[in-house]
Parts: sequence; structure tokens; C-alpha cells
Amino acid sequence: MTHPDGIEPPFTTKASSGEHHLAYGEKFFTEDLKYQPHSPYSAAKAASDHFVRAFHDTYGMPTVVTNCSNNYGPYQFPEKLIPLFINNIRHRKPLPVYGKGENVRDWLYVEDHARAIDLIFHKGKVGDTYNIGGFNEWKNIDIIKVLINTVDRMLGRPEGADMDLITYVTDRAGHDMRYAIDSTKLQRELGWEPSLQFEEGIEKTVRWYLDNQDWMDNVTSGDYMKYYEDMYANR
Amino acid sequence: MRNIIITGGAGFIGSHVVRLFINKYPEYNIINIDKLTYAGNLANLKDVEGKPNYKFVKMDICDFEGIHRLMQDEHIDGVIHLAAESHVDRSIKDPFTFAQTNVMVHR
Repeated sequence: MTHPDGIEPPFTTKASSGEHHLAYGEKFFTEDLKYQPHSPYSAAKAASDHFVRAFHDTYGMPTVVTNCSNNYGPYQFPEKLIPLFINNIRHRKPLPVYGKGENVRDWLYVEDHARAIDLIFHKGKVGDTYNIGGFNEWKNIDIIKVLINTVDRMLGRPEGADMDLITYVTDRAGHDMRYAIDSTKLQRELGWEPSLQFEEGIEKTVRWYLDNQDWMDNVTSGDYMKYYEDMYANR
Repeated sequence: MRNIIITGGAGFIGSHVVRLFINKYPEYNIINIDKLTYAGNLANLKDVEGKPNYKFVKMDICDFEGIHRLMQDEHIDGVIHLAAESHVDRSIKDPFTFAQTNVMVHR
């Protein structure tokens, strides 16, 4: 079939991750539950998923939609909790925690997300939606304590020495208390499963940020913005 | 499938997907399209940027004509769409950038 603008529809996989049109109180979010977006971010992501499905249903575009839980790992921009806090702990800067830190999130190592996208791109059923998650739920405050202990240990500080950096701040408006994603379909139909336990993933991640302070400094100083100019401007 | 676009490939998740595809599928051509907003960082791909099956194109995914042309020129037969504004706190301060980048791209 042909798109109304004349494009031959390619096979398209569209992925979402993070916060979350998937907020679901006490239940696990499965592929057939309706979205419940609360922030402008999640409303926009939900709308885009609906557009993709509409293009499949209306124009026959071969699409697959994926939804993933929170990702962590190397190269994450340090506005997000895990890299931000690793860097702050290293420099003994305050760790701002929303509300009481009781919000629960499911975490997945980013390379496991990439493996899932590879699998779904090649083997996923056209028109379907797949959840990608780790069955790995943590309260924010508990993750933060793990981060403090891990960074302290790796830097040779007494474990837990930096607990006093935790600073509670007013919760984010529209902040979802919990979301939990059920990736049983992906595991059952395509045989995917996470390759790393969370403890291993956090060890690798903290080690990477501590070993790649240049990358972090480059990002926090804004110098990385010049990289494109340096690399590509004269090509 | 041979010629694949990955949008948002200079971002966090995108860079991991680009790396996996470049290394795992040397027979594919991987084209990374990224606008390089604050969250896009080509240093995330330093280890693979010289690979023969990889090309970077700086482009806004909302540039419909540009994307259309690129898809025809490169005979694209697959798209993995990862580009998005992703930070919830930023969406509270600036909701319409999110509507534009995360929704309008699908027009």
C-alpha cells in the first residue's frame, strides 16, 4: 500500500520509554490496557503511538509499537536520575529527591532495550505492540541508596558516607506514583529476556560514569555541542 | 532489509541501538538521523563513527520534505523511530515543543 503522500511505507518500529502514559496504580501495564497520560510528555507520547497505529490501520503501513520502562546505562544525559546522582555523589553535591522518594519505577539496562528493539524490528508481528520491561521495580529512594553505597565503595569512601546528600524537594506535578510494565508477551512470543540483573547493571553503570569523567565534563560544560562542528562541518 | 534509518541515534537509547545494528549487521546500511538538540551527542558514537555501514545525517524529523527525499535517495526499507523530547520536567515548562517533536513528526 502507498502512503497518501506517495511514500512507499517502510517497516517502521516506534519506541517509547520512560515516564509514562503507562501509569497504572496497582496493576501491571499490559499491551491491551488503555493509556492514562498525566504529563505533557506522556500525553505527547501516547498521541504519537495512536498515530502510528492509525497509519497501520488506515494506510496499511507495516508498523510495530514498543513501550519500555525506564532505561539506565552509559551515555545517559545527566538530567536523568541515575547519571545525575552518580555525578552529584562524586562531587558531594545535594541529591534532590521528589516527594518522599516513594515513587516506584521499573528499570531496564539500556543494552537490553536495544536487544529487544533488534528482535522486535526483525521478528515482531506487524500491527502489534510490545512492552519491554525488566520486572525490576524499585522505589526511587532505594535506588538512590544503592547509588550512594556503590559510588562510595568505588571511590574508596566509607559505604553510605554520602547519605546526608539526600535532599527532599516538592514532588513533581502530575507525578505518577508507580508504573510497572508487563513484558510477558515479548518474553513468550519472541524469547527475549533481560541479560543483566539490576545489581550487575548498576555496578557497570556506576563504573562507566566514574571511568568516563571526560564524557560527563564535556556534557555538563556544553562543549559536546561543538563536536558536530568539529567533526562534520567541513565534510 | 538493507537500508535502515534510526532517528534520534545520537541520544542515549538511540546510540545503543545504532551501535548494536552497526556491529551486528555489517551488511546493512545504518543511517542515523538526529537534530542534535541538547540531548544528542555524537561523542556517544565515537567508537563506531568510522564504520563503512554507518552514516550520520543532521536533520529535524519534522522536516517532512527532507526525510521524504532521504528515504527515496537511500532506498530506505526500514525505520526505527527513537527521536523524542524525553524529559518530563522540561515538558511541564514547555509542553508544545513536546507536541511538535513527539506527535507532529507522525503527520
